[in-house]
Amino acid sequence: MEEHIKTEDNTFDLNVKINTKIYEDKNQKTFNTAIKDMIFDVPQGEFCSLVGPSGCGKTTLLNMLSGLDQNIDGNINYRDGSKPNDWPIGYMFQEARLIPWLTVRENVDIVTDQSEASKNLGIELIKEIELEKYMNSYPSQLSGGMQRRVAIARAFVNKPRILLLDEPFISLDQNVANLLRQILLRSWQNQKTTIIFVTHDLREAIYLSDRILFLSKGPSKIIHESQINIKRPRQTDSKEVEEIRNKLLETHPDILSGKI
Amino acid sequence: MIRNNILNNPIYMRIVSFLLLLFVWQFFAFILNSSVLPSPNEVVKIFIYEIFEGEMLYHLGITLWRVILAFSIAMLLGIGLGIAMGSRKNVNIMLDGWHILLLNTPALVTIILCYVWFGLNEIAAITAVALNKIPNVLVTVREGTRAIDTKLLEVANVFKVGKTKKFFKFFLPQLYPYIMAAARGGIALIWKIVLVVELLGRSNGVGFKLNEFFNLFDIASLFAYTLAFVAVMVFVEYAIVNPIERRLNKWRNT
Repeated sequence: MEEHIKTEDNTFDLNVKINTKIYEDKNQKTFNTAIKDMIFDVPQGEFCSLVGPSGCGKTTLLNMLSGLDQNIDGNINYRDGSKPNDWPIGYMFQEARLIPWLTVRENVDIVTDQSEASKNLGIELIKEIELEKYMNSYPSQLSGGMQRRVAIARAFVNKPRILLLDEPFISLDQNVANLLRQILLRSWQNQKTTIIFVTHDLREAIYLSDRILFLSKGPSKIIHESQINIKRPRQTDSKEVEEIRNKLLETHPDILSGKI
Repeated sequence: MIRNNILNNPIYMRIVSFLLLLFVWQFFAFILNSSVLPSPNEVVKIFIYEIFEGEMLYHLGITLWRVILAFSIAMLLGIGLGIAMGSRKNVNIMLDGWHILLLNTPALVTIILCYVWFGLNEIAAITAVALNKIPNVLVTVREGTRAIDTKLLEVANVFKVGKTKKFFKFFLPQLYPYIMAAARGGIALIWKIVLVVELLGRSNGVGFKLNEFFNLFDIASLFAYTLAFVAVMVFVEYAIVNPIERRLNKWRNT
């Protein structure tokens, strides 16, 4: 039995294979190739980060993964053949993007089927992010960090099979960001969700991830992959994070600008 | 010191302003001493008589009913068309000409045409009033639809929120400020048009009565009816429109 679970865990769950993705710039009426030959797999429950320079087609990729963009030359599917769209998806944007006229609780509830079970899970998650006192407050009454916390609860409330995060902690005070990262990790470990985390902050990626995929500049593809084997729970400003970062930048000095 | 206080207190100022109006009215009524300008006293007497023994409440009720009906129809159609024209270019191009035509047709023309085409009946009256208001609602709501924040709709899309919920919880609330603005303007415009419609082709309602008073040169009754009607509309504003607006804006200023 033990053995069986192990092999299950090691099997890749999500398979991404994009041949070419053409992006139409509607203002300039030009067509750009955003993605070319991007192939990667993600095992169930992995925290996988995508790191790349700006304009490397990260948003395009996330739109395809989330099912918003169904125009795919290639294949994105789970091991059982189902598509990302067939399952609940969690998502965090670069801003909290809460609905201003809904309370904290309603903001979490609104993306669910609003059954009794989802409502209870919503309340549980709000407790987990330590905002139960603000359950009935509106987003405008919360600080930026608290709003992101609600966004985390919203991302997890549907028990998503895959959770997509698009630089969710950008433009935040470091202390606040660190707290949010810990909350994110806690929820991730509770629910064992597969996470795809987009960032261009290498430290953040190392601190959070099991594995980092590096993307090239557009047309983008995977140019490097590195497994992060620091034991969890990790320290935010640990030496190990710094060491891995230095080592990576030594061997591949241009990796953050998308060159190997 | 005391004078200063009175001048600075808005409630006192309102009372002073009201008393001044009464005084000026009474003054001219006294000087002219004519039935063309009845004194406040006379008007209040008739007002009280009309309420307790006259037909005023009946006619007020009829007119209010027409206002509510025409208002609801105009709002519903105006919001529907405004959203359709604001979000779809083709629909906008298709309907914009009609809209401009309707917007610039004088209210009187619409009313006369409705009575001529549909007869002197309730349907014609309500249609005429609604047709006069729809273009204004439409303009405001179309403006609001064009200013919709698509980022919030993306949230609905990515979390696969159903269409109905997306419309009522993510889309429509963004239009509430525009809808409220249209509603405010709507009530003010509609009750004035309703009076004209009643005057031209109905045998009850405040407009009908006003016409009667005009023919009889009964200015005191005319004043009394006007007073009652303004009171009703102020009541609608403070007891219905304002609380709704406060509720819709609860999330804003807390």
